[in-house]
Amino acid sequence: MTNPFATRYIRPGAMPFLFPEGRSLAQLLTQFAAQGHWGQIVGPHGSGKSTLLAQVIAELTKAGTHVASLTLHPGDRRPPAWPPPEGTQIVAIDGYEQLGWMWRWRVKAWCRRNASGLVVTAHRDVGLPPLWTTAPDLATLRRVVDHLWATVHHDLTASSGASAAPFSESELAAALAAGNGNLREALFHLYDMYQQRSRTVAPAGDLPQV
Amino acid sequence: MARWFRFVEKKRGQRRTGSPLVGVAGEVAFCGALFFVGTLLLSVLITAQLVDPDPAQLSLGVGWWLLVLLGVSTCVLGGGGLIWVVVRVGTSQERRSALARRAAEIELLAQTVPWPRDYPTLPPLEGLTNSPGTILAYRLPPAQSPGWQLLAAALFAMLWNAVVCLLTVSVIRGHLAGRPAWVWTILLVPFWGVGFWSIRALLRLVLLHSGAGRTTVEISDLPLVPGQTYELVVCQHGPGTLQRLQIWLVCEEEATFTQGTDIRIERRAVWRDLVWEGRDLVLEAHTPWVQHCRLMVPPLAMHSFQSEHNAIRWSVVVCGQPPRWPAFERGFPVVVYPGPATKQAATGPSASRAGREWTDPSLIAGLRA
Amino acid sequence: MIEPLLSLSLVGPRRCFGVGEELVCEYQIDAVDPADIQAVEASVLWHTVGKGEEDLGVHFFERRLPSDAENGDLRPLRRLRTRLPNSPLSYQGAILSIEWCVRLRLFLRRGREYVVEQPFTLGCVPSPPLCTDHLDPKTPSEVAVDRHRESSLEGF
Repeated sequence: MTNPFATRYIRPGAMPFLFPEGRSLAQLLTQFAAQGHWGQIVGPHGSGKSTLLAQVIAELTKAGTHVASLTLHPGDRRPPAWPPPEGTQIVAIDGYEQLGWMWRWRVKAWCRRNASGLVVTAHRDVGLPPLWTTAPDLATLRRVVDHLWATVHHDLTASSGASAAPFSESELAAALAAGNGNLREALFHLYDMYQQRSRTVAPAGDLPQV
Repeated sequence: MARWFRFVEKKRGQRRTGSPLVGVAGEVAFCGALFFVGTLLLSVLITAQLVDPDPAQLSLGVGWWLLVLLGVSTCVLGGGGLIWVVVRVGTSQERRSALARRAAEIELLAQTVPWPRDYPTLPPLEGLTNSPGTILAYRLPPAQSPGWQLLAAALFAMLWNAVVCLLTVSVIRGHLAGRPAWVWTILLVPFWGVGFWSIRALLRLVLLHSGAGRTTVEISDLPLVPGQTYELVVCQHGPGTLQRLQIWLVCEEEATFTQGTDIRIERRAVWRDLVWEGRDLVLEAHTPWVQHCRLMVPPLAMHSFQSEHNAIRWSVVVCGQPPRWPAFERGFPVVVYPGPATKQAATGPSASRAGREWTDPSLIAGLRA
Repeated sequence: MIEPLLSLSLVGPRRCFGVGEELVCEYQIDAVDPADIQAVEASVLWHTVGKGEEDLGVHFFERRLPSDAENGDLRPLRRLRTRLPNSPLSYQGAILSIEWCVRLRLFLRRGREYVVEQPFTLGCVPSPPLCTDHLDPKTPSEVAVDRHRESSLEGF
């Protein structure tokens, strides 16, 4: 049985960013527009910054905005494929703080010169107008697990007939503690717990289940 | 003490009478001292010209340049020798010979070879079968050469201490000239602290990788096939004693995930089989301790697998515990091909597959029925 | 707008195959104008699922354009055959799984794509014995997280 906490289900873009009660993507985009389409998404490792950025990009693209999306991998000191293509209206950079000060100046200068928006993710304040601060907590983890349970787990177990019990608050708290507050690590810990739990629930029929 | 430390060593053919540990430590100390002397000399010469130059002392001329040449040569000899020593730690004689002979073809620290044609995603055998054994068919290469770690430690220690040396000479000259730079003087304390720590760390790594003696593993055949038994020979070089020595067959899964600035690599051992265990072993100086044993890959075990971000690796792991010394764990990778019992289509209920499936005889009987 | 209907099935009752056996599958496309179809791709592949990045390996691949089909219509039933390889076998591990499937991808005009999959099993490797060491805080599984520009000199 495929694990609902596998990377294919939890990686940015695979699942939506789950806003807390009273907040929504529409409000965020309104705020982003009010800030002249400049903003930063700040938060610790594994807290959902890339997920939120992916969702913002998808929504803007759906609305017809030309977004140049750049992802900086470990060790990248300059943006891949710079400058953005002609007609870019918003530049989105995941991992902005990896850029040196010269490249940050160049990116901002280009965006101002071309009347382009700029939205970035970073682990600390990088001087752009604040758009969202991600803060992994138990409530956030509960929202994520509930979402995975309602969608992915339901699809996986609908045909196989197998089902594992949902996680309790104490188990989620233990997972978050095991991940040292890192939401992604907590989800990986839940992967192991789900794996262990599903082994004891044997689905009927021929092996193996996929 | 006399057995461990000889001032004069005899060379008898390919063997040496001294302790390999003392040999490596001695080489590191000698090369390190040479590098330090060269750095000190260059520091004095450079600061004499750049910081408060005095025409009466060490003025530019033939003599000055000769001293610079001497300092540079000493630095290069000492630094190069140190790097050469640390890179050689943990490599076998055969690999050193192959490295010297085919330096352009072999990467000591990493090998990338395409998959075998008939078995996609299985790791290549060439890196494992190109070293014949002296007792059995193949000698397995170690999984990880300590070269990179030692090289990084050596480079850091050399560079840091060279810079701190230069600063120290400059500060001392300032004091002697009656113009003390107290800020730099105070800063030298933590700088030298880091310098001593880097030297200590380097020596610790050298001793860790040299102290327990070389381990070699030979196997009767490759690749391994589940359900079959293979001869294994483990040679542990001394001198010294081991409180405990264990030989394991281990299967490990590895998954790499990259997101943003994080690269996450997780390894999980999913199968461990103790092939052999011994206690209170006495290792002779001239004759390696040799243990013959047999290992069997579980009949229903998963084969080796290698893709860009994920892997299933099998290895023979030798774990030793010297007295009053850190324990060592040395892995020797092997390749397991799909076994006859697992190549067939799956049949039967799944419930029986939980738990100790890989060696479950009833499952094997069911598959053969 | 009506969604196209993709039918993909394995011929025969079996979903589990041994190495070297022939895999036969059929696919058919309905509820779509044949003029809208730009291409159809059918592949037999394995992919990894788990805690790592997803890797993928294609064993069989076929791409058909309207010009390859009779009357330019890619919708009618089509049968594919391929002999399955020696590896990798299907596997459900602790942090990594290897899964095989037949995948059908339909390309329509205006960039629309539709995908269906039919999983199957190659070989019969049981799951490894359940190892709970990683859940014990004293013996966690080995995890290395390299955070660029934040790494410290560990191990010294």
